[in-house]
Amino acid sequence: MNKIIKNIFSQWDHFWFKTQAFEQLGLFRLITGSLIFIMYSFRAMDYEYLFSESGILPLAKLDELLPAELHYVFPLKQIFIEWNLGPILYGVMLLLLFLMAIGLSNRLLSIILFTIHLTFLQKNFLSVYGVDMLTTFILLYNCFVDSYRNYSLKSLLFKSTKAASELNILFSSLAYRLLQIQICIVYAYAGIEKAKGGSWWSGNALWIALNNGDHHGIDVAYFANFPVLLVLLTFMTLFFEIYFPFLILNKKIRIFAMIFGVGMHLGIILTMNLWFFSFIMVSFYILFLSKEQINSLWKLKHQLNVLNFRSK
Amino acid sequence: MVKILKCILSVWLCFHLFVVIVIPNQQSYLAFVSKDILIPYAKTLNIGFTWQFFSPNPGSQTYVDFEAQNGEEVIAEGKFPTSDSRNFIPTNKARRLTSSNGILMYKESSSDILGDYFCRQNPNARKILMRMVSVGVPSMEQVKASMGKYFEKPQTSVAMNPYDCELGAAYE
Repeated sequence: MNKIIKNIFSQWDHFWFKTQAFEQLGLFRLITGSLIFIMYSFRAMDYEYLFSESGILPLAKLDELLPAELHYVFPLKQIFIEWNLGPILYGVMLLLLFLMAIGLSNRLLSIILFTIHLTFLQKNFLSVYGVDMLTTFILLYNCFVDSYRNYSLKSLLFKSTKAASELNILFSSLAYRLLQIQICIVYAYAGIEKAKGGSWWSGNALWIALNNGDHHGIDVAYFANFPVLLVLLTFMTLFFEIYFPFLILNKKIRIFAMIFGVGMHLGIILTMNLWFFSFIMVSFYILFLSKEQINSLWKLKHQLNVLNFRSK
Repeated sequence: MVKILKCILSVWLCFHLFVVIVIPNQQSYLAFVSKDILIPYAKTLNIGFTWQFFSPNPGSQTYVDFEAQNGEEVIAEGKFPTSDSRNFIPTNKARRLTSSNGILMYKESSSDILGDYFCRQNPNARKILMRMVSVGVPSMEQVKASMGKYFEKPQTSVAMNPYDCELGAAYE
């Protein structure tokens, strides 16, 4: 009995606190940091509409909308009206995101970045969509991680041969596992919520989603000629999302799950124009690749660059 | 020292995992009995999302047709969300759509929020009239049968409460 308990604790310890995944975390930080930086730079063009007092949701209206138990945490009135710090804070957030993307940040700056991100989410919670939700978790877990040992300017400028400290491994491992689990939760819940809807059961959901004039990336009327294909894709999406945690945890089928996932998100980009959402969802797959797979991917990219340069 | 830290982190981990797993299903019994600790924590970190992408059913295209009036004269009219140049950037367009769908979900406050916004956009307006328009999706058979011909999508529209700019409130 004692042995079993000891074994459980040792496995728990190994799983949460001893996994060294600095390559995965470094590449994940580089890609998601860059994507979030670009996306929020675009959002800055809509700053007035989304966050200013002349925009769609001034603070007085926000006060009326939010039920008392959901009242916001940050002193928004001071930040946005009395001190008029909104645009400056937004600029600081973009700067911190840029530092995160190029790999010149640290844990303290990550905590500041996460806090500013939350301030803007709470200022206009009605404009928060899928990609902002994913960003929240990425920035939250980034506060734990030492993701600057690989794929960063920091590692290029200050070439350190020092091994990671125990505390560094502990916190990075924790965040790595939480990120992996989070994406499984996102897919599984997205699938289960869909399964409640009649259109997903009948197989019409994809047709309805594609025909929503708000999202059109391409003309979708042509798809009416292939009803069986659309129904099949609807069911495959449902199956993939609900069972994602099992598909991705199984090493033998993981790669096929990833290929299907990439295809599905490419489809979302083409037909619904949800670029950043799809790219960030796919970026999470990096966390399920091995160190060797990441290195070979990086080498392949380098070789393609060389071939491209030679052909020019 | 590290052992103590691991113990503390393990306790936090169990709690955090419980929150991120339970909170998307806020109707569950577990979420109900633990809401007093669950909600403040999730609210502080802003992690209480339900992960409902296109579910339970994909929504229909919805927008608001509005008319700003000064007495009997119509001084401005248009659609919301607007389609100005900034909306060509897909992520900004998606965010504007989310924001307008979010407002329309608050049935009692939507006229108030939108009316107030349109009044500020049109300082000479005294009254705002609004209609919420939903565009339906024709079946695959209907579209297939009408291929190559003009096909009008079914639309339904509902009048929203008008907004009095001078009073600063919507009325029935």
